[in-house]
Amino acid sequence: MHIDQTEKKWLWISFLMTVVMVGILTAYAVGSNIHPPCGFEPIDSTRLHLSEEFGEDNLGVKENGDGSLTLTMVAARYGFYPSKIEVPVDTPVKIRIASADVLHGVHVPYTNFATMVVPGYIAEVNTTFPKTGDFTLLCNEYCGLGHDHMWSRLKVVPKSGS
Amino acid sequence: MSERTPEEEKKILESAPKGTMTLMLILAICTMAGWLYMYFGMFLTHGPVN
Repeated sequence: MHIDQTEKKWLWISFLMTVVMVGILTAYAVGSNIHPPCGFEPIDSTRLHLSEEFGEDNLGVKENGDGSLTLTMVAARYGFYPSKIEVPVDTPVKIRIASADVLHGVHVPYTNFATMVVPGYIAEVNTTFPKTGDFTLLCNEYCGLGHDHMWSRLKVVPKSGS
Repeated sequence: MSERTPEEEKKILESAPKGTMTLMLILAICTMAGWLYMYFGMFLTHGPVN
């Protein structure tokens, strides 16, 4: 098959660009342990309020011994609980969310935090928020007629003492 | 306008298009620069996720 010289050159350029992009993605994914949220931790959605971790009094931000934080949340039609969250900037946060009813999604625009919340399973994401400010936590999986009202506030504040 | 000889026409048709390599390189550089900015400037600065 005859391929024009110019087309051959363009094929090589495209191939090299793809190799560079995939190479950078792979190097960073392996080197920085970046990967999609994963895990298999079942929970009974119908008895969420009775569980120790997702009981109403235990929701919110808790400090771990190593300086990191754990944020425990419940997603239920049509809101996230607690509805206002405050975390310090540049602090590792383990976010654990469970759904009390149907499939939900969580997305905080202008950050990399996004996950699905499948009923019957705990969604866990580890991240840090590198910029201070007020962010909106949105449901990005259609969950019913009130889906567009399902949001809450995330405030990233400067570290105390800085 | 002068008429081209058959030899001149053959030479033009068989030669590589002028400026195509320049356009290809400009497109490749723009694509790579955009991608690198999106990855290093936007994605990585929004915090790691795992």
